[in-house]
Amino acid sequence: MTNSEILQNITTIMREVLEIPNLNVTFETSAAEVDEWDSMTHIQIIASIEAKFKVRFALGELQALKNVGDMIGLIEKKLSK
Amino acid sequence: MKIRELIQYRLDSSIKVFNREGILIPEAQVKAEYRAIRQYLLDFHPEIHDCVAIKQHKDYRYFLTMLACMEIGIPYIPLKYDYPMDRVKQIKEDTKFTILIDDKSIQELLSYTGCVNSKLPKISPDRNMYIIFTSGTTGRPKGVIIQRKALTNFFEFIDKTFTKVTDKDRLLQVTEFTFDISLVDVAFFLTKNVTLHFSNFDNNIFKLGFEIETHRISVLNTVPNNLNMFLSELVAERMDYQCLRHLYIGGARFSYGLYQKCLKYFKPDVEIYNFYGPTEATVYCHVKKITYNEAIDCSEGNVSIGGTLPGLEAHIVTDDKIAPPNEKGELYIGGIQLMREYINNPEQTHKALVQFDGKTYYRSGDLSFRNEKNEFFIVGRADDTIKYRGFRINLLDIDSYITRIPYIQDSVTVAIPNEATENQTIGFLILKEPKTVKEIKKDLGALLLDYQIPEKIIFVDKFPTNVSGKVCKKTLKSQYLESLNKV
Repeated sequence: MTNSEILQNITTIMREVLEIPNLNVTFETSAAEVDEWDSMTHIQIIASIEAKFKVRFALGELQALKNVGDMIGLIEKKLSK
Repeated sequence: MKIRELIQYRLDSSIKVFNREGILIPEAQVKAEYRAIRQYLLDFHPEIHDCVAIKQHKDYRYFLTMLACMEIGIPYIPLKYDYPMDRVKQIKEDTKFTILIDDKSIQELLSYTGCVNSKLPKISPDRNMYIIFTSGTTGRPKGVIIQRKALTNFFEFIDKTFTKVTDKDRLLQVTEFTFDISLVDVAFFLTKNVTLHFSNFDNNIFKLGFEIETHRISVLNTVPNNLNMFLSELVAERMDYQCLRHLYIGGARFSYGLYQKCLKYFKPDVEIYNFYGPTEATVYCHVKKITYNEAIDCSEGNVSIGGTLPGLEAHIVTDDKIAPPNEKGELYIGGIQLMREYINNPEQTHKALVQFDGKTYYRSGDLSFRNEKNEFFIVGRADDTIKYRGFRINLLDIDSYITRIPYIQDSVTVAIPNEATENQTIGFLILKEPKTVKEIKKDLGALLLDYQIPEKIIFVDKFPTNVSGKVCKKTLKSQYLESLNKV
């Protein structure tokens, strides 16, 4: 799966969880820029990503995520294993 | 106990402090920085009655600045580093603070080497200790003045009650200093000499879990919402809780759902305390040790807040009389920890502090009851002030800010109970011109603090009204809930 395909999937998940149908998601998008992306919705986003990509993240990996780009990098790493 | 002597004693002993990056700050550095801050305040603080405002990122230097004010006897005002300038200006008007110590000025202060004054001023127990601003009902935040004797009583309670906490324990300092429950952390450092770890979790609950695991945290003082989130299955299943030994939960309602989660994830050897208290009664006024026995801890789906702290008393009042056991009424709190007043606000002070049975009590506005064993339970709010993410917000207050935006004709904010954050806030708006939710939230950000901005914004053409022409919030709520069911 390419980076842009992963981004597309994450965009769909975030639009659904955050209930913002036209949310523009880029590699740089972070929780600080999206009001609806709070600690509660963050948990939901991670749960949806794990289900979608059939991967599982460790606590140490999740705590280091700063933006969508970091998430894509982590998913890519998991899928390549 | 005297807080000044307690601080001096603690800073003369061996201490351990980790900053928000997780780095151990050499003890000599912590103490040297403390001395510089303290000396600067001693030399340049013009009048002892004037206040000092602290507006920094939450880290050990903020903490040291607070301690220096406490030791010298200067009343301090904790502010968040990102408070809008309008809010800071308003607070300055009310308190006339003379020094603002922010992230920039603290750097200059740390290199201060002068020494003009060496003598500490005399301080009485009645002197103001700090002023904390809470949301007001009149559109202006209220500054709660807390005296030294009130905080001393609270610190004594911590010292005498939590005897199992020692200098071997590690405490993760999570709460912003603008929220008075953070003073529990200060108390544990001063009275028990716990190792302090300043958290940088920034609302990322996975990071909070990681910090707990990495630093083997044994003491955690936080709001129920944080505990609720890291006991959610997704977080809990990948986290090791073994290190946590003492949990102090307060600042918002401890829900029955959270109680059940605690039973599931913790064993009785983990001490869990449920605290209750308005800022006006100095951090907390009630405490309940969770026994892990539901019949003792809960009643009618409410988790007990226990009895009052020493030096305090509480009554459930209905129709100006003390209510019998199990009858609901408003919780009145009296005793040594009561605030002096709301700064520059005699009208609100008069409403909040009332004479009852020949004594002064604070009207909490909380609907409560007590059982036959004199254990208290909170049911909800008696008025429009609600708890949201651990903060107290007033819905009418929020509307008064929202309608200041020129393109908004009218606003009604309602709260719908929710397990995770206690309440979900929904702002119903009538607009004069089309705007997006994003544009509105951006504009609200300039007027309100983040937790005051309604979670959801819904556009309406008009508000439902009742027979007397008043907006019917009940109908708005039920219409909203119905719309959710249709999706």
